[in-house]
Amino acid sequence: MSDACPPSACDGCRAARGELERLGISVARWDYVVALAGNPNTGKSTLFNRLTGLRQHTGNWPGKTIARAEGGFGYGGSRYKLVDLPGTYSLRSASPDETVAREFLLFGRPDLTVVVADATSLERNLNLTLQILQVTDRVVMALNLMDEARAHGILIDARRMAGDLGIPVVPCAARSGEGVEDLLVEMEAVVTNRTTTRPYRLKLDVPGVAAAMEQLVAKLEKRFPQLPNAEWIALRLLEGDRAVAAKVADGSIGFSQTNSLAPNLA
Amino acid sequence: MPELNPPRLADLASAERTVIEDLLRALLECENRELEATETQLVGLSGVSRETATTKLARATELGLLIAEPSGRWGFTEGGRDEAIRVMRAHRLTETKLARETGLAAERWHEVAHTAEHRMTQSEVDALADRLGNPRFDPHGDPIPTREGRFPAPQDRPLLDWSPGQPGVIAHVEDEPAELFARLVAMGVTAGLRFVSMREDRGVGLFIEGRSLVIPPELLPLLRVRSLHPEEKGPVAGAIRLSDLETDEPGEVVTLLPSCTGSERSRLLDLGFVPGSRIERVLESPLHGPVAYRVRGTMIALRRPQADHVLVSRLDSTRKPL
Amino acid sequence: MKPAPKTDDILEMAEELRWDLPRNFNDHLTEAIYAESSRLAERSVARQGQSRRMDLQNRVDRLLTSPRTGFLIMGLVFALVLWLTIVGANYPSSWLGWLLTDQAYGWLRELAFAYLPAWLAGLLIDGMFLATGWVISVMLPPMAIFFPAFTLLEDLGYLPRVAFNLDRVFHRVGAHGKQALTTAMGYGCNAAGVIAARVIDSPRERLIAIITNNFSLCNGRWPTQILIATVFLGALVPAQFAGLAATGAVFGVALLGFALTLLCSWALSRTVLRGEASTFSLELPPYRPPNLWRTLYTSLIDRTLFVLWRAVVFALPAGAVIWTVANVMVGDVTLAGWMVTRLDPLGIFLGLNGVILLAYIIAVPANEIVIPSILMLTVLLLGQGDAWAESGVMFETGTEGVSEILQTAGWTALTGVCLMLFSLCHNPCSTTIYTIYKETGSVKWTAVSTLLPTALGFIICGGVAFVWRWVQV
Repeated sequence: MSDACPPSACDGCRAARGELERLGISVARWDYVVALAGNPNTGKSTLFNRLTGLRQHTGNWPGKTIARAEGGFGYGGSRYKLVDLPGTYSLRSASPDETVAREFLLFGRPDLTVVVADATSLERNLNLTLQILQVTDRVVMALNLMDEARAHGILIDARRMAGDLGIPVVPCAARSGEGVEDLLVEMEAVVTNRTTTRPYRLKLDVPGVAAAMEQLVAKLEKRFPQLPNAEWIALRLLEGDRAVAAKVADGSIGFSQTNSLAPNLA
Repeated sequence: MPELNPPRLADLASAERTVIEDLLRALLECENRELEATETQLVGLSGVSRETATTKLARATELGLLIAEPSGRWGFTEGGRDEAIRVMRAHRLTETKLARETGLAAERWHEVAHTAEHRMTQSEVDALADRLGNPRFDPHGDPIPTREGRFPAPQDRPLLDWSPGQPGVIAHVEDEPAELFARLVAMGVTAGLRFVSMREDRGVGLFIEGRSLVIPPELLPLLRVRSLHPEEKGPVAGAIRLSDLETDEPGEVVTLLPSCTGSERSRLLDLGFVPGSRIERVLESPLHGPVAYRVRGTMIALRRPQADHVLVSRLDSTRKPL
Repeated sequence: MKPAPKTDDILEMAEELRWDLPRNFNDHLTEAIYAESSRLAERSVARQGQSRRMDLQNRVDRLLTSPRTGFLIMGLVFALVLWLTIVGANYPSSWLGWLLTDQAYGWLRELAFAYLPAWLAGLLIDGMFLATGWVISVMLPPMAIFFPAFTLLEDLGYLPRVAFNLDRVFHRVGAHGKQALTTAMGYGCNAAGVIAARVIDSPRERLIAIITNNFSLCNGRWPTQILIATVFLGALVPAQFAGLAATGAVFGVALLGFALTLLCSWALSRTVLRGEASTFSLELPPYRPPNLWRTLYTSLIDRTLFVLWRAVVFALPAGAVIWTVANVMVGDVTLAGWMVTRLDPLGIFLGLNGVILLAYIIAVPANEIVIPSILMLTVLLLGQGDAWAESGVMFETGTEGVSEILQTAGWTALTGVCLMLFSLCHNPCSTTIYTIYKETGSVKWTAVSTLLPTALGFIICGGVAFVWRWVQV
């Protein structure tokens, strides 16, 4: 397979850290499923292209990737299937792109979710990140567009942020390849359980909702003791999400989250 | 249990079905408003002629939907109430859809929804509800029954009974007659807005979310209001609409008004138009089109009607950026 | 206990609790999450002074959106891209034409006729190879310039500013400002423009954007416009202004397309898609310096080669069809001749001719092959028997040869103008039609999107032809 990228920092790096093998769309067999989530316009597709060697073009305007794109790559002897979710600002509305993203995170049960965040407007990106942390445990944050952030005079303490969020945070610039190697190392560490994430779960104790939540969470936890995200499920029920309600009714919401080596994705 | 009697409502010719369903809805309205469900009352509420009403009420009784009580009042059977609720649900969901997803003028929602409510099957109604995210209230502020048929009784009263000077919330805006409703829509009066009322010579003066209006007497009967819930904040003094914010005059978002619904509301919230966000007017488009605001580190352009949905307070411009 | 969906106690409880929640609890949740994001961001983000980058962005934004300079710059940028495409494509085009249709064609033809039965050699070389060679030499160079230039603008972040500037105009006709994006996208490919309409949230405005997208000249139609403008309108002025006149004419047709987009949006939002724009929010992302080489590379690979490949795939069978209709006899004329005779009255009434209409029927799969079809059919019908020998000569001489052939076939400036107009207003290609169907899921709207521009094309061409003839008499 020919290497499609222009020469840059990430290509052919030190073998000690493993080799990135771009697999394009050939992902017939994989060891881990990785979801790529993030706000629109954060360079999510650039990262996707860099990892898989595919060339999905998306321009500099919001909401371009609407279909779910899939590709694959190999790293450190394992094969990863990468699912590029539509760029969204949130996970809570009924819009088609948010529904696709939310349902994949909830029911597709990826082994890992990489949140691509724009380092130049972190606040807005944390809004989505906090919601993703409500849904799923295994998350790595790719703090993308670091080159832009530097040009804007923005300094980010990634270590502190990692501590606050309880997940690995990797500064990178997908466009030039800066930090992509470090990202792969962290991704591997999380899927192989060498790094354990302790996701920061924001307490959703909004006035008038807390009591209802408490009742529902208690019931949910009683019926599904394994449920890792009871609060979020309770919230979705209160928001009238019928897809979640159906999974609660038929009991399938309670399956454990990890299912490595089980290629049972729709 | 479904009735064993052969003809069912869904099997009737559409004209007959429409009339019966209108009567069922009228009866449901009587129940909610605690009115006497006499034939005269039902005729008045449904807009059906008296002769038609007499024959169709009898027909509905035959179908096992209604019961004529000895006192001359009408009541539902279990199945009859379900049908009435399905129709009401279809109507309110359709209006919600029209409000959220189409650009149809508000005064035409009722007419379109009225046609749709008689054509939708139960599963179509449910599918629509799911697609809309199972909303709880329609654009007029009325509760939408759940598929299980549950909805709370309204707790509102006419604006005419409201004592001046007291803050309240517009609970319901009646959409008939359509031309009067259209005037209220044009004035920007919609359900969910907070107000303080004052008596005026030519009607009632309302100070609604940063704008003051005079509601002429002929429009007053269309408005029903309620008092603030304990957890609700009252109207904010000194707040203005985002569209009235001037350049180089930083503001802070107070709230997103309830007139902004559906996907537009969630989009604006997600973009950072949430209470406490610092906001600035940064860019005007040529031809007086949309205006771009900087909020939470991003530039977002809104048209004037959208910016009207955002209530902001002026910030002291010497204050440090958040 | 059986957990039947209707009686699930958790769901029942949730339904019960929903009614007691404050109406705006959703807002409060978003607010709470934002407040937390803000707190977390503050803990780990530091800013170094006032960013000069930011100042620059603001200044650029003012320049690009001010009433005085905004539209001027927009017009200049688009005109520049067009001019670069038209003028810049000339040289590689004629070189490719020389290579493929003069050199390779003659050589292949000799080879094929020596070893294959005449009909097969004719089908393969005179039909399929020649059509494909034409498509490549006419299409590749303009696309290799247009797409990268467009992609650069897109990556830079200029297009959302265009939407911002034009929103008022779209608002007035009841459409969404983001339709400016889909319109712009349509200049590359209408199918892509139709898909891009997904960025418009509200269904009504999205449908308007989809239906009117065909009025954006797509890449398959630019070569038609450019070639015909050069041959017929460039020739009307002194040689040194020919390029300018041709560019102006093409720009004019593109502007007419934009006007039709607005007119149809207005008409639709007053009739079948009645209503006012319901939602609007447009993010103006920061300008990002595009990675020049990567952009050139990806847009060449992704768009240019993709589109070219599609054109080739459609040109091969179309070439075969053209050869077949030109060689199958109906009585004592060829099938092509027979069909052209039948189509001529309508064609001439529209200021066109039968060959053009037949070419549009053959070219339903892709607009790219309209010009090759027209030329091949014309040559065939002109030089009976010896046609293929002449066709080789035709390509050698580039636009002058084209001009000669078309004028011999009785084309006038009116034919040229009407062809340009018809190329703007006719049914979308089959890929676009299929995409519209997939995006709308509705046969009705697909039919409207197909028939509306065709009907307009007939009206406009018929009208122009009528007035033209009336003025000349």
